[in-house]
Amino acid sequence: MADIYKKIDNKEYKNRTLTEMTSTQSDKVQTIIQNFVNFFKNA
Amino acid sequence: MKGVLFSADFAIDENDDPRLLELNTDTVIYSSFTSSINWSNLTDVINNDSNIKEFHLIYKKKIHDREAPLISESIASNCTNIETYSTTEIDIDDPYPASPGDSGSKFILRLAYDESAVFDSVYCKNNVNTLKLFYDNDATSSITEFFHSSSFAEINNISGVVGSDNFLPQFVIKSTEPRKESHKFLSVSGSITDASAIADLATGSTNTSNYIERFYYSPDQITNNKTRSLRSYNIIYGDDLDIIKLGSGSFDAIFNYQTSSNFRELPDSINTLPYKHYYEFTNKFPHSYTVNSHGFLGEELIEKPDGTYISGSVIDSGSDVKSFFYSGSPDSDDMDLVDAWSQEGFATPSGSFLRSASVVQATSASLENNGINQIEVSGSPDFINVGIGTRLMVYSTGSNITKYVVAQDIDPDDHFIVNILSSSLVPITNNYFAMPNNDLDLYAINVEPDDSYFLKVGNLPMNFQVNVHNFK
Repeated sequence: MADIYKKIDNKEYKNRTLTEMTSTQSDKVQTIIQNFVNFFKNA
Repeated sequence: MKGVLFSADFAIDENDDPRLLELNTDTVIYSSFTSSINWSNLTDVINNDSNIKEFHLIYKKKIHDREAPLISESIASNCTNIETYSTTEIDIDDPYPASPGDSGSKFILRLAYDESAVFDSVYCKNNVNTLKLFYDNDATSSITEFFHSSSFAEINNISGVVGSDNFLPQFVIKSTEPRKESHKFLSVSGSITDASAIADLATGSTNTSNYIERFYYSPDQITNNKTRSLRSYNIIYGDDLDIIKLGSGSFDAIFNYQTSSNFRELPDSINTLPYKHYYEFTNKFPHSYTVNSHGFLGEELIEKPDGTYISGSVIDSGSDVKSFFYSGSPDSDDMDLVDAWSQEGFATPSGSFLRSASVVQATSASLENNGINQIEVSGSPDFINVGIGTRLMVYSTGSNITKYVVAQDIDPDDHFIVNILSSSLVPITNNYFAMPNNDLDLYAINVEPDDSYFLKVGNLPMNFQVNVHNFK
């Protein structure tokens, strides 16, 4: 039997829980994405 | 009007601020995100343009099987002005998806990667281009500190300031070409504290085909020794490249990181950490459709026509194995056909029979990111170790059908392994394992005329479907 380092129930890792971003984080993420678009248009 | 769905991944720095890691088309909306995706932001855009009468979706079934029906339902429920809904299904390996002609009366949403689109082939394909775009616009606080040196660009944004956690890496090396090689996580010796010396060690670890970036984490975002990152899904569309925000959230790594071995005490000035830690340090999701996800470990035993067994690591082309003609199943190496096939119930159909088959191809490939699925017979010590994309015949109690399902998608609450010799069901458990070694291989064989053979699971023979496409 091959050695095992770590084990997790297959379903548990497939269904990792999503956590809401804070509104501050969400705003910062969208600002970065919008900045990318602005830079992309000017590139 | 054309639009493309993409994801954006972010690390969280020590100030809880996001730093962009990469952009991706061909992206999967993880199941945990599905319910939080706000498709109405897309349908609102469509409804606000009364000229749009047709919606067309370009997608890959193997990647977007969850997204496509959600989009279809949302359009049907919310866009009464849409008179025609159509789709183009793209092969998973096709980099140039066909697209219908654009017009003011259409909204064409592309989920599939397109090599001919600058957004995809420049910025999604090569992260350095994306990071460089921010670097060139003096927006370095939005991205990771990074270093890349090649004829394409010479950028050094590495400060040498690093995190202090002894059990997390300080840098990560990534290939500039997608999937060319796995990430390498690095740790600098604790005896080296000068930032410029640390920066020199980091930048000296790269070559022209990769780049190094600082490994970020926020102590506030770590729970039970699990790191966390951010993902955002958006659509970029139209001539003005407007953005539709679909959803975003944060999620943990698969495994908690270990706290028994201090990486700062490793012998060299800068050390590459073992791959077994991959899913502690990233929040990525193992994909079952990649080349190195099909097959079995070399210790698994394949049944020969005389009832004896041969190790998967030594079987070669020209060998004979026991196989099974399963009446009604597709005689095809096209995985789309195999995946589409099913039959009601689990009784082996009349006209099926045992016979032998010849191994026409035997291959091995490095186990990607050290991960496998172990399918264990419930209540027994018997199990097999297979790649996460390996197809096994299972019966679904929920839908009353038998079909081949990739190991990653086998759900013990719904699926039973089918013992086709006795038309009986075998209850199972399914775990994902990280393996400790970097040198493990996955072995796979292609047999003809039947495409299935038997792996030994304790005293139980398990029917097993080969994915021939993994050899290409």
